[in-house]
Amino acid sequence: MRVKNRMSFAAELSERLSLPGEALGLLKLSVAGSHRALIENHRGLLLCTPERIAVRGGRGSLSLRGTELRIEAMNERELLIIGKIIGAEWSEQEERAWS
Amino acid sequence: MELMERLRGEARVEILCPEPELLLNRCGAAGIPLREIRRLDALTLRAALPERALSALREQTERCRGELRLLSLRGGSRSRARLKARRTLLLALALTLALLLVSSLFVWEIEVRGCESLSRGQILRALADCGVEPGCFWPALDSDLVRSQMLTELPELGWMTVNVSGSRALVLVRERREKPEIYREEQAADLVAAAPGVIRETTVLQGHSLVQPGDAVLAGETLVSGSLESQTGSARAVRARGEIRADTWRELTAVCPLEMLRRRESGPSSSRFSLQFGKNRLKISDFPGKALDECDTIVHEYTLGIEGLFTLPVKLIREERRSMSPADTEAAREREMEEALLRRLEERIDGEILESSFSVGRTEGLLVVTLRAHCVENIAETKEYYP
Repeated sequence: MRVKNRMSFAAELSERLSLPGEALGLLKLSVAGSHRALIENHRGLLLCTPERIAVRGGRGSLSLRGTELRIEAMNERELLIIGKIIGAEWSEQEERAWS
Repeated sequence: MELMERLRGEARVEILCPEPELLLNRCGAAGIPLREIRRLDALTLRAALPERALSALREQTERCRGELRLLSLRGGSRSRARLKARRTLLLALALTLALLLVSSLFVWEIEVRGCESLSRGQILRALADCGVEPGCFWPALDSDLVRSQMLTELPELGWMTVNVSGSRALVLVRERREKPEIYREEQAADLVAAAPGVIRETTVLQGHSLVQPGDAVLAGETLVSGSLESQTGSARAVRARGEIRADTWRELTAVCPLEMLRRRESGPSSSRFSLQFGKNRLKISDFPGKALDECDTIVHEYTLGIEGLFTLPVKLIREERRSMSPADTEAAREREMEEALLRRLEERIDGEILESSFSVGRTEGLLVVTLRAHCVENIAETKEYYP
């Protein structure tokens, strides 16, 4: 709950002060065409299959749907995904991240 | 980037793990740089990673109760071990690098930029006198000294500099500009006729006009006087200024020998190659066939190296031989002379050519071309009283 409040505070602060959200630790998704996506500030990988890759953000999770998806590179905060991306979904529900 | 990874060594692994996402998260937290992660099935992953991170991944896999299988190992320690066995190759590589390093301390190519009236050859000869020539040790060169010597040797130069990058010396030159003619505004002068003609139009800005439209004048005749009469007594001298346009009839003649043969390309060209080390040349191939009596040889030079990085002390020389034969081109010469005369007249007059005609004569082995032209031009020329 504390995490949830802190993240909503970060989102509100970012909006009010016109600060980039990623500077306050919000999840950031950058997509180049339909074959390359970069997720920054993730808090753990939830699922990794060729059809779906899901990561946990500050509040809820982000899921990328597609075909032949694979993780080109990853570290603690960033994830580079390659493959045919069909869509992205944000979910407010808390999911369990493997950590 | 990929090359660097290869040099460092890359391992490809297959991991069998009950919770692959957990393993990936732990690898991320442990700073294991996994790449190209591919999920094969619910329990199996394939990934690539630097060889040095293999033991850390093995440890994480064991902690997640998984199993790691090494698929391949490329570059890195294996390549290094393989190279160690090839000592001659390593020695040759080291020797080549050392030679390149030493070679980059010498000038092997000189490029001259900015010369207009001076030829590249003149500048290169003067540079050679100053010690800047192919094969010279450039760290010993003193740019200021070279500049002062060059400016002394070639007074036509106004400024120059030598920049050395790798084994290439870039010589930038600026030639001296001639001082424009300076005259004193207060110096009294007349305007006189530069050529005979019939006055068409007079525009006098200062002075007293002595001619009217329709007057015929001879060369040297005063057109506008700088001497103005004063109501108070003595005459006042000024600098006459103006433009006097007149009809003139010009005649220019050009002469050249009647029997002058020119060379014309008459057959296929052939080439031969050689390598030039400093000033020594090593022949690689020769011209095919017999030597020709009448031929022109054109030399092409190709410097070997990477521009801006280094230049090898070797040049590839291609000599191209074109067979030539004499050709009589009197008609072409006539045309050339006519064009040259017309150009000369246009340069000489301050006006335009209304009408022109040429006459061609052959006398005593000479070809004589004469241009007669009717022009309208400014014939006023300043003549100072006390030059």
